[in-house]
Amino acid sequence: MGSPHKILVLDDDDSFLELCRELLSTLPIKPEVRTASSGAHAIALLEAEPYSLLLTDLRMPNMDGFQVLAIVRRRFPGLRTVVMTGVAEDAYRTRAYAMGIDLYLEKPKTPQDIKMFVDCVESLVVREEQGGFRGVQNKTITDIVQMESLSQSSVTLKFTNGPFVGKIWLVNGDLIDAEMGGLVGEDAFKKIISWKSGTFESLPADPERARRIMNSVQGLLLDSAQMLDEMAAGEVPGSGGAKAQSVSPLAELARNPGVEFLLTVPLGKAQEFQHYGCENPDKTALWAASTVERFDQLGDKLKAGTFQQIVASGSQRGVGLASKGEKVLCVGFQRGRTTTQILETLKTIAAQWVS
Amino acid sequence: MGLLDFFSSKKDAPLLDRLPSGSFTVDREGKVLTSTLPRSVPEASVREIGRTVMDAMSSARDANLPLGEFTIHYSGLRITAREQRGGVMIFLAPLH
Repeated sequence: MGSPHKILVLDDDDSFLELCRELLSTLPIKPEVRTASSGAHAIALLEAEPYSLLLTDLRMPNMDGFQVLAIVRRRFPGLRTVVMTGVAEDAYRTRAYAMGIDLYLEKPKTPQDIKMFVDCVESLVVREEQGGFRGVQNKTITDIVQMESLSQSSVTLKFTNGPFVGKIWLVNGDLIDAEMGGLVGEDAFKKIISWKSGTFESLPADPERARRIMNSVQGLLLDSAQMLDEMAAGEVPGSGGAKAQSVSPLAELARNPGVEFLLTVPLGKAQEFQHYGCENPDKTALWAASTVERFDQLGDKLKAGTFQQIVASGSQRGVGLASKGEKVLCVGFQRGRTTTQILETLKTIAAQWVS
Repeated sequence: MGLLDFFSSKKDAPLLDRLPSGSFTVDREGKVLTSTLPRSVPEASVREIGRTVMDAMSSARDANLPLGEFTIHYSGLRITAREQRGGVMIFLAPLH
């Protein structure tokens, strides 16, 4: 099993990625560090499994750091993000913070910079585990609602979690109403209370607000706490609780050295692929299946014996193909791996895949 | 069934007495330009290898996977193909 703390580092500079991997691997929390050299690959990796933290550069070809952050904010609202760049201009810093990043760091140059960089990253990863809302770090929504209720406040609490906005109305410490998207009342309250992080604002009270919640604050918080416990234990299907997120077998195989993506596809059913971290899985699946099929047929015609593997390399990455029965395994490798390294790793992965 | 599988297995299909050894080049149209393969190797087989390799390379490009070098491993033969100025140079190396 891998570490519970996964960090993804995105930069188009391979040597900087390697430096980050070395530095972050020394942290006491022993994070699992993955790297991506393009925005599209980073998004594919984020889609494949949950991460604790994304560290991204800003200036990159094709998709720059701001474009990546915009997608991340929309699709992975709970993900902690750090910009780590050589650009020291305030305009960039302001724009990045406006996009909801947690930290803006300049690329470390001196030993002091490196220590600060490593300390900041560890602090963020640990904080991510504890949850909390920006502005009242380390306080959950339950804490915030309890505090406002005990002090008998009249206030409208506004919580933002990525693209979602939720509001909770309190009058003299009484819970009056809640609203989130199309939900209102207790349903909206329970939804909002399940958020682990985001931003929080205190807005003026709205005494005219019609009462939709009749339950007491303590009663609702108890119900919600029970629901959150069940979600964390993975008892609610699709709840996304920590224990419910099992690591896929392909993610396990992707831990082999130099692996960029993995894809399996049944022959003749290219649309039924499974993948981990692949940027264009549908096109890759079609290509992998048809290539194995055509070389298998060629081997038959030449009477060259059993088809075993294909190793291919190009300017951007290497690819290995193997098959077992009616299924094809396609593995993408980071650029710079030799064909011998690709072949050896492909054989190892194919053996693990078959078993 | 295991016994039947044993007899029908492709692994046990007899290999050609002598698999071709040598190299050849094909242009972007798939036409064979030069060859060091023995004359006994049918021209159709050579063209078929060239066409299959070029198809694999062009379909890889279509799938956003630009790949300029392929090594295809069979139990009795290794085919290595390198893209060169639009065409491909192909090496055949029997393993037995």
